[in-house]
Amino acid sequence: MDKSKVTTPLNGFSKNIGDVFLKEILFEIYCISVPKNMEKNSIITLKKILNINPPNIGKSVLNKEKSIRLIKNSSDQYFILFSIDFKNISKIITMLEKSFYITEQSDAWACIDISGSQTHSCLERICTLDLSNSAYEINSATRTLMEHLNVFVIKVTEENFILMSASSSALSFLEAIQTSAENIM
Amino acid sequence: MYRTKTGGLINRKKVLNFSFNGKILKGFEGDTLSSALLGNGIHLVGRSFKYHRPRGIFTSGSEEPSALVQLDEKKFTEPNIRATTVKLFDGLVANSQNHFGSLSWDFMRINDYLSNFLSAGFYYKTFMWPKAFWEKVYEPIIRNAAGLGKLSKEPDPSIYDKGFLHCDLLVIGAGPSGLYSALIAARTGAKVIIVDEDFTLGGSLNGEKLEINGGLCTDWLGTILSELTSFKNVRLMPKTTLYGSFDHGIYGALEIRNYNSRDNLKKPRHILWKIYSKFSVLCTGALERSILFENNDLPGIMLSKSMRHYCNRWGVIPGQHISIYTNNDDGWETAKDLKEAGCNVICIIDQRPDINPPIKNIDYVLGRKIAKAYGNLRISSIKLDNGKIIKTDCLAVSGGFNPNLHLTCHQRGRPKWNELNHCFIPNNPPKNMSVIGAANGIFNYQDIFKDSKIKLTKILQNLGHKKVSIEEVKISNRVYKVSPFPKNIPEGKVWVDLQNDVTVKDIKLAVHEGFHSVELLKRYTTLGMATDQGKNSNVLGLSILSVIKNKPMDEVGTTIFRPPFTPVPIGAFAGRSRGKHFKPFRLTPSHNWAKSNNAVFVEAGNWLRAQWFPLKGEKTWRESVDREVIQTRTNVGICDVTTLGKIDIKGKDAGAFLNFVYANNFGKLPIGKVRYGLMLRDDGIAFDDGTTARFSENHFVMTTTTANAVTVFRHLEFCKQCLNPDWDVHLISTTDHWAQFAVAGPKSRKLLQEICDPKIDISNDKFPFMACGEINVLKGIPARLFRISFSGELAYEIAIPRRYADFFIKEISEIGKKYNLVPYGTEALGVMRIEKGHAAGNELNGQTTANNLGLGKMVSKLNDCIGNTMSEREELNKENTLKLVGFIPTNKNQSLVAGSHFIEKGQTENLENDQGWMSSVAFSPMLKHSIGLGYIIRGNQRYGEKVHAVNPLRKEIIEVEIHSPHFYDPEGELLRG
Repeated sequence: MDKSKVTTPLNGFSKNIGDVFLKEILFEIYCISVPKNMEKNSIITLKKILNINPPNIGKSVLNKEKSIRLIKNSSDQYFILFSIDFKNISKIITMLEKSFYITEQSDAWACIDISGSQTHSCLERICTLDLSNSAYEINSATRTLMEHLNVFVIKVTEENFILMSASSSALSFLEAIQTSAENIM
Repeated sequence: MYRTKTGGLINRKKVLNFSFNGKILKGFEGDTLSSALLGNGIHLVGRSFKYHRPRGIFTSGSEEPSALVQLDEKKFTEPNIRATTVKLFDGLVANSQNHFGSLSWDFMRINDYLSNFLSAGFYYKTFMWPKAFWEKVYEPIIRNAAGLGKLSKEPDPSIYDKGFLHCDLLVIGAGPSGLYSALIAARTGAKVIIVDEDFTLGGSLNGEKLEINGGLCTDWLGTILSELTSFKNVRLMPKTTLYGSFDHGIYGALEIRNYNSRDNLKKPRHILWKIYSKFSVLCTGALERSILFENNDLPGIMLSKSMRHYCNRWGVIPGQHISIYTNNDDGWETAKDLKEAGCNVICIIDQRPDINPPIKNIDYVLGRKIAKAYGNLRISSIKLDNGKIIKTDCLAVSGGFNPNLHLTCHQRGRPKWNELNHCFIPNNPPKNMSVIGAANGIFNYQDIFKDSKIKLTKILQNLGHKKVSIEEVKISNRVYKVSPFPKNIPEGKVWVDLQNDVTVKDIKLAVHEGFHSVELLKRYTTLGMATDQGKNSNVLGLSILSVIKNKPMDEVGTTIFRPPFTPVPIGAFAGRSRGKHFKPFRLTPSHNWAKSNNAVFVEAGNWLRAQWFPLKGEKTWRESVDREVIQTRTNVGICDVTTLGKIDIKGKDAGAFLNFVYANNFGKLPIGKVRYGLMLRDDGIAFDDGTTARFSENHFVMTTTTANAVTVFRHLEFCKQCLNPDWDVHLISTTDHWAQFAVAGPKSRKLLQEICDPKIDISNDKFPFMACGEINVLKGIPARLFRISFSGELAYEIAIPRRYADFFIKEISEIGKKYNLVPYGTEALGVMRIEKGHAAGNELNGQTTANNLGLGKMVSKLNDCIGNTMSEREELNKENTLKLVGFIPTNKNQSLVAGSHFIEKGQTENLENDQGWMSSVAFSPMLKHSIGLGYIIRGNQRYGEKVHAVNPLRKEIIEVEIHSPHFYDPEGELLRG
């Protein structure tokens, strides 16, 4: 990827607002669709190619090197998030394409990393989900709505989340999160 | 003189200055506005709604009906604020409302003297003639004379927010039962939220002098709050009113962050919370009620428990000669506390004849009633039913207690009458709600704690929490015995509802006129309406109705209590959804570039799209649009069409799936080809159209219209998941991933050849009309190229990953200069599609069929596609059906208007003669006159015929000629060239 030709949905946004830290985070994202009647085999294949145990629906799993996160969206669909600096993306995708239907989704999403001790206070202003540990374990990954926008909420640690929302409305989404962070200060 | 020397929960070292009606006054930290006013000896604070009678402070809580004030001034002003709920702050400005002249001399008091003519429903009967006077004369006068505060009519400078909270147990009310319940739950580890409308947690204990566990109740309160604060699983929310109970354990709550609207304008003043609870306990206590006697609304008359709390909590001496009127034991507690605080309690009158007075050192009268109160701007004396006159400047009234059960009724719970305590108690509260303590009709503190413990233990066990130890609470016992409502109706001006000026006489009149039902009574008299929602008045009114109808209270029933429990500002409901936060915007990938090229944007759903790109010197939008069209048709133009829905369809059954959802066949579409597709609804009406390209055996890319991108995707998911669950089909929206640009015009191929990978041949032979392929552009950017045309020109659509879009549009603009490349917006796009005769949203408006569109032959008769069968309905296929055609004005200087209806020349312009309508119009820069598309009966057989396009709104009739819908390049030579 020639970086000089590329713009990102949030132009590399990064800001501390009180005790909430917001920054744009980039992934190469692919949708993996499991062919009909191949659900059982898919688990073995994914494990073999990615070297991780595929998660259950609504959960995600990170590989040891922390370069690949696999999210299970539904019974026949996964999202795979590669770290932007991961070298073997095309090789893995080629392998996956032999068993699955793969659709690139990298540019469909704007990803925001939110962390800090006030993260929960910030998110409770816009997120209807109960994000506490008892209801939403670490590595949970679920779709929800925030300010009318579709958002994927991935829990990284107790006070760190990745929020994925549509790239076309990324600035409105960022504005909504910033407003929440400013309102709780 | 108006304050005790010590005691209470106020900080006497922190003096706060405030003003009331322009007079500068002093209060203390911890005061409410009402306690501060009473602490300055002020009882007269407003005028009543209808009769403009002087009114004072009647309660100490959110149920206050009379002490409504206008807070602050100019754009910060707020009307109808209950002085009893505002925490005093330094600089507070309050003014009384609803008077003409000064507060003490209100001209409109004349209404009081004319009250015989202004009884309930008078306006329904009085202002009947002349009819025209109602709106112009009577109503404005009535509205001006009656009413409360006034709005600033300026934008609200405060900001508001909302939020979402979750808990195992929601405790509503932080009084003794609430806090004790919360403590039991907190110790089990349950996630607990405690809400209370007061700014100081503690509920009734804040205003009582009770002993708990051998110490002061306020000490016990401190200990409990301290422990609750130490729990991480507990969220204490003072200043938060739970205003509504909704389905599935969801509650609405309003948190007041700033009482002062000028404080910290950049932070939300109110927050509207949506609370999701597994279980809730209602611990809202009970509200005291008044007793009916003549002039029972005079300033200086106050509910007994409120007076006790003003004295105990805020150190207020409410009067110099205080009397107490009661029908229960609680009135005696007030007498005791006031006496202990040094107040001059001159007499206590108890309606009950046969009680043993609990206090001996106060003059008392047993078995008597107050017949009438005297005074003008404040009570000066009372007359008992035996004629005895007692001079008094302050009267505490206690008519018993009503459990504060409103929240149990928000989901249609109907309370039942309790004969023991003469009050309504909760009957069928919402699922997963338990009512505890006084809210459940338990008025003895010791019993309240027992009730809390038993219920909480069971609730927590059901929620899966282990039993924990909890200390017993020993509290000084109080007996509560109340006499029943009297069976006679008092005479004279006896106020039932202070807020709405409803008297006993009004209720009698309403029943006399046939409004027997409690719901009708409410609406005819306004009993129980407005900000207090009848918290003081409802049961009193029902008792009158009970006597008049000679029916027991449980047969009379209650009206239905609905949310909100107390008023919620509209601003809080709107929250942050104002200005730029009203709705999210979607930006096209070339938005920044378009902005830097002076684009004028238009909202298309949530999208902001470039409408046209004005150049310097262009004075009207038409100049810009005409230029964009002409330049595109003579050279080349580029338009961002990213907003079209894009759906990747993959799977072994993808072809069959497309055959199912489209009216025309896609299964045999060759790889590398694109086809126009028409989608029908179940009922055979046209739903959406677009193109679908095939990139491999099992991979199709569908485009939808911008407007229907979401609904089509949802429809496809339904077709996949519900109608064909066994098919191997996978859908994913790629609308946001791919940026897409239309490159149109005779020089489009040459331009694209400059940016495409040289190895790719896009000549007409190798890449003909309706071809598609995956290519590289601008030295390595992956792209998808489609040879399709919406403009009718030789044209392409090129899709590239969004990340490259900004670079792409800048590069192609630079390279395109030598081809006179012009960016064009949605207006030029629209003009060109009308010139070409392509249908769009105006034509696919949910009323039209493939047959109407001239696409009837496309509907496959071989496949079982959605809409196929229903499209064959006789009515949709009759001989004189509507057909999409073009229209040209006979007089080329005239402009056509969309929405005009077609009438045959010589016929009357009415619905019977209506033959169709104009759906789209444009000025064609190529033809140099106005053109239109529209539907007319048998249009395709009537080319050359002239009809009238009638526009009744503008009262305009234009003669038009029916034309082929294809005005420009009707044979399609250009787009295939």
